[in-house]
Amino acid sequence: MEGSDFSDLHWLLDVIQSSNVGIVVIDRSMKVEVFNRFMQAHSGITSERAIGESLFKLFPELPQQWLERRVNSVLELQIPVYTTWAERPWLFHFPLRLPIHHQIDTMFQNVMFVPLHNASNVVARVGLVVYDVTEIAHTRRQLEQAQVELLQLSRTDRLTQLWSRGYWEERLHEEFMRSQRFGEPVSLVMFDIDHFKHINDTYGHPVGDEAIRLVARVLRESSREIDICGRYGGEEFTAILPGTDVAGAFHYCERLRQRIEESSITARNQTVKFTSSFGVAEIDDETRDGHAWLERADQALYRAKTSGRNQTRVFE
Amino acid sequence: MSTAFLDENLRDALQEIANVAVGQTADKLARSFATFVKMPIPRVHLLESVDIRMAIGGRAEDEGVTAVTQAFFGDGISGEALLLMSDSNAAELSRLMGYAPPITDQEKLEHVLEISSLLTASCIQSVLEQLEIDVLIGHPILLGRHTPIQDLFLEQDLPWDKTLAIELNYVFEGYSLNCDLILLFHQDALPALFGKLELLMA
Repeated sequence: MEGSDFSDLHWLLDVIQSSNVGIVVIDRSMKVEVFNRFMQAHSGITSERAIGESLFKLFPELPQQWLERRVNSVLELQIPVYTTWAERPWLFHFPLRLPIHHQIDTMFQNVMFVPLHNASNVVARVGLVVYDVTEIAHTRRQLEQAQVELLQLSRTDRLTQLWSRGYWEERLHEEFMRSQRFGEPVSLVMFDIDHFKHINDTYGHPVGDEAIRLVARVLRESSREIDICGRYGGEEFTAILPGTDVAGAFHYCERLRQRIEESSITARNQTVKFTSSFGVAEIDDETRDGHAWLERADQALYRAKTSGRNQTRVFE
Repeated sequence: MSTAFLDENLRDALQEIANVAVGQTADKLARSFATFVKMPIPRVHLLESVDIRMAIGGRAEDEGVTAVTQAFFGDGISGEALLLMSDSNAAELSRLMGYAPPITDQEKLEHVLEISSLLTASCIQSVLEQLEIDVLIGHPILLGRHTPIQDLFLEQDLPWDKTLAIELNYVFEGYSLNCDLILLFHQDALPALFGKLELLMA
């Protein structure tokens, strides 16, 4: 701007016009003085219409109190003020009609409010600089979504969609702690498929997998929303039954055991039937922790196995 | 940059600048919210990267905080401001700012970001104006919400040895509310910063 020729002002103004950020200048009464091309393009409002008009008339959706508060801070304190998409996704509602990136339909914005000094160093105007941060916001949201899915995936057993062993064990310890606080009865069930190795050896692993999926389905169908069902290992399953004493848990196991016995899978045009064995342990005063609780259910299961399988045993 | 050395004179000069910045910021806050802000005495010191946790300490380790950073740049000097506010202070903050309950979680976040923006910009601008530096301030970045202090910097090893830190603890009279604002200058910015200070003192 040396020589400060007026023709030089022209290209300087061109920079404001053609910047790919929104630039709006307003005075104390919120009337628009500058409205650049970015703003025109996204709002569909011409600068002829915008200039001299109140910002709230042009954009009725603007949060008036919120915006006035920020503008006043800038005028009063003469400092820049910032708002980000994290607190408010957008200030100006600019629809993005993109054929390919159609899942993003509104522009996310960061906005900077800056004090503008006049020639005598008085602040009587505020500049709004609007940044399009749609891509950043969109990427961040996708990342958060992916984290949720990843967490879900890490908690779920692939074959059966039951809880994975790791997550189920976390829940085991939580439920133990809860029972210590509230003193409600809660029972633990551990069970497995009888002679599973025989099914695998005779019909092959895909049929073994089919048997596991069948048991998982019956388990889910026989359980309540609040029961915590997991696949503990190969053909071993577990369930935590909140609010259920040992008698209730015994009934649950017997029903489940009978349903498994009545079900069957088909392999090589043959009907394959199998049975299962159950161990039950309710938390009592002598149950030290989650490990001990699990150990008791496991011991009961062992007794069911050694007493001839296809039955339910309670820890004593 | 091991050449950066904070001698007594430089420290005194910076301390004076920080004092002025605190005063100006407190004045602005008092005008925005009708409350008297107790003026903190800023602490100016060179921090090792391992000390940063100490600097933001003085809080219970597992206490949840909201943390906001804002970068600043000017004349080869750059750094970041870090604002920390305990989550347990959120309701008090909204009251201070004159918002009536009930206040949603999203609004609480808005209020933290609003005050963060005011405090940070005002403080940075004052410090750098006194050094005769034109400053550009970046957008606030939400570093964490409901995050225990010790988790804030866990994911990254900070790659610098030394940074200059100006620490401010703001307390608002009549409110059980306090927040920490720390201005951190990048170590590579220290020679330029100290050069500016020496010019001022000359």
